[in-house]
Amino acid sequence: MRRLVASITAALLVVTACTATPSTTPQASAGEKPVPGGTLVRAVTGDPKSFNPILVTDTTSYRYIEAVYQDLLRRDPKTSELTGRLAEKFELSKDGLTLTYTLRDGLKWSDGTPFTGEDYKYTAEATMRSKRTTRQTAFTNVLGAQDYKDGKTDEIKGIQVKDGGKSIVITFSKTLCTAVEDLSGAGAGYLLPSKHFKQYFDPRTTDTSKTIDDNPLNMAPPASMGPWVFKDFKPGDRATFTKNPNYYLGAPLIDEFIVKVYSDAAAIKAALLVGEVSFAGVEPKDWDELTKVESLKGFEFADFGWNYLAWNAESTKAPWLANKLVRQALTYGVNRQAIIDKIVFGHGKLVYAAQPPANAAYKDDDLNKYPFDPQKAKQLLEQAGAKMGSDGIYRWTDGTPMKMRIETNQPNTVRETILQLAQEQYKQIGVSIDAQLMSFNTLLERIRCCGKDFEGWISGFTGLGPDPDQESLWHSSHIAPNEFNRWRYRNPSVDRLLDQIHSGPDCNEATRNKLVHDVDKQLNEDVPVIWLYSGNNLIFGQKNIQNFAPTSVSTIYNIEQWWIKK
Amino acid sequence: MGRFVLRRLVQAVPTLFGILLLTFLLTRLSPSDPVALMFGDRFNVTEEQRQELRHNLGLDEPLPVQFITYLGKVAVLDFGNSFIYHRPVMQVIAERLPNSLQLSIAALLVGLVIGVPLGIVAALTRGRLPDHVIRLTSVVGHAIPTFWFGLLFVLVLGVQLRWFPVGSMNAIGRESDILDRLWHMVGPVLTLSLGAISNYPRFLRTQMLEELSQDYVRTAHSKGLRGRLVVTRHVLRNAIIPLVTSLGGILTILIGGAVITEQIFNWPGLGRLFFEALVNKDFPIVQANVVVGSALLLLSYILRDVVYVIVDPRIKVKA
Repeated sequence: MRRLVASITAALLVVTACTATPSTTPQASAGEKPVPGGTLVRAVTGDPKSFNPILVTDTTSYRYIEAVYQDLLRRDPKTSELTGRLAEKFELSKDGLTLTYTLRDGLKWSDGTPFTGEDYKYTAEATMRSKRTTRQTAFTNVLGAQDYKDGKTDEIKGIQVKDGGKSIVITFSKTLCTAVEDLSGAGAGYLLPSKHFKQYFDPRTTDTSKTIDDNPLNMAPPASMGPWVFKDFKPGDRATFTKNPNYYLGAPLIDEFIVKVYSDAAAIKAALLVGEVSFAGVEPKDWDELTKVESLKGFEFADFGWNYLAWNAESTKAPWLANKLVRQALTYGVNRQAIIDKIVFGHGKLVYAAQPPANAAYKDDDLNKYPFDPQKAKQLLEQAGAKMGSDGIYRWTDGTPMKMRIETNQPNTVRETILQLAQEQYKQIGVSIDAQLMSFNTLLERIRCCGKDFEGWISGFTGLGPDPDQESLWHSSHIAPNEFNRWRYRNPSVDRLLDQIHSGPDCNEATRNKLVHDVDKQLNEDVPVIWLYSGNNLIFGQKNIQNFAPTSVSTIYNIEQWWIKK
Repeated sequence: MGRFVLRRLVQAVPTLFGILLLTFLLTRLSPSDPVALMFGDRFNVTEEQRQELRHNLGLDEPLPVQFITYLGKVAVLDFGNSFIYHRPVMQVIAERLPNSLQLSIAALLVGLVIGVPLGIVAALTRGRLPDHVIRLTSVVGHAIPTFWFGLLFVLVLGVQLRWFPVGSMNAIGRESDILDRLWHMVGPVLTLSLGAISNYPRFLRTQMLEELSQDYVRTAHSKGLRGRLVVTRHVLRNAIIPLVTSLGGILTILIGGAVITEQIFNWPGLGRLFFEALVNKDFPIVQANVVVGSALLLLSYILRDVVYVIVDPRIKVKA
């Protein structure tokens, strides 16, 4: 028995002592001749909900879809500037009401069919007629889109294909500064091969009961514009792709691409360590250990999002939340640097206003940084009219003790820990917090605008960029059920700025970025929410994969140039 | 015998109805709204779009109407479309079933093939070295949590020593290679059968020792029957009955999938599917799981009763 215990202990020691297996890894020197062939494996944690982009919104599904389908424009992986992909150029008329995309020459689907504006129009119409999609919002201002949806017409009048399929002309009823990017994927985000899908859904009809929602091609893409061609899909296990000889940037050097499902981050880590996985995202806690592994290379970059602790400015139980000085006090009262150091192990950045640090419009030099300062917090509370009670809890001007709830979802260790920390630190500045944990869905229902029976909550946003338009988060017109101004932030001067950012008339990037920073300055002063931090994206790849250089915009933008050094 | 089976089947119907009603109500009355879930934290979704989706999913009809529609569909094993995968639930389940069956059947066989002989040996060598060793390992095996054993297997034999794969059903590019599959099965099957390997010997040993001291054994010995025949024909047959009891829920064990083991060894089986469905509030899949699982459990109990009749001569069927 003692020996058994001894050997198990020994085994554990081995595991903890050296998980890194030393190996000599070849590194290519510049100008070395690439060797084609091999297989790439990308790790994800779930199946695609569908391969049809019209039907999905989750990032996991996009990991599969982006291998085969493309859109007209892309963000430059380094500068994040909007530039052409399948479209060679785009032009928005002076009045912002006509948008023209011009396609590159000689574009072909993987099966040899030419790619034309008809594929674009098809995708747009399929999106408008889908009963299961949540992606129709891009068409709000497109002429005739609603009529087509309602079955009054058999085509979207505002989308015209011209020059033998080479240009797409879109007409709007109202300017929308984000239209150029929002419509580059025909609402769905990625364009479908119309020739194949037409056998299941023909858009030239006024019968609105016909949709693209149920057909076998949704789980088996029939043709590809992306670097890879779909081969097969084994649910719960993997999807396999082969290289696309017709890819517009040239066929990939690597023969096969596999997106493989792992049960969790621990399984992905093990598979990275033994070399089964070529590249994958990892958790902050595993970063230090993986960087010590000779065969792996890590990349860290900012994310287009942030985590927040928000306040309901119209709460009945905590009327003090409507007071700017109180919200400023609460911002000084929580140690955000400690959250970054202790909870995400340094893999994040402090955020002081609404633009995430990854965005081009981000600028923080003239923003108040709100360093952790309990004394200053107390001082601001008193300035706002609060009086200290005998129990160490402040009394608000009406005499009620400053007690309130902060809610967050579980299981989510990071948010639960932040909540504990906030509870302790607010106690020190004389504000009592009742911590409440619930499922994510329940939380969403609780904080739905415009209830009065909640005070504070912790959550997060991703996908807030690269376009800086955040009108739906801060504009007072979005204080409505199911909309996103859940904190009831109202500031007429901010509303005016947001309108200009959203609908022009001047949609020029420099003009907009200046306005965006003006919004940030006001938000930084009003602190409707406490921006806790923006967590970094962490990606690891095998060192022998050449030209692998993910950025915050895209991981696989140059996948056709990757090759595996033996 | 035929009437006995038929009667048990008819008795199962009200139970099944109760289960259907309960699962239906529980999923519909839970506070999570599947529509809110499908939209997630997306921008710019209007209340109108929400209502439209709710209508398309049939969630806006009165509960009794929903329940009757539901019963009619369950009768033909139509559990509707998964909220998350947008495909028929039974199709999603059928894709995963073979993966889970491979593991569970192999684990059952390994458990029996190793566990039963160990129990017999322990009983026959009572108080001597083999008995001590078997009992000790049995206790140790029983005390090790499955997840810990599985994790240790992956970390030591997979990541550290690279003797075994760290998970998955096949190495990449060797999908149709049967030897490779067996190689990948070693870890999960051992982990899954660990409980059986350590429990069966304990069960069987106790029961065998009790039977060995019975009068009929002495009679059999004294009438000159060979020792081995006494054990296999008489003692084992009686001693195996508690084992049959412990295999009561066998069908559910076989088909239900193994959440933890599948999770650790990254095995794309039903256990993981159901677990993820639960986390994602994918009601149709959760319902199918509970309903099919309960039906199988009822069936297993009927099957067990039939097996009792066969192995235990003392049990007689009242026709």
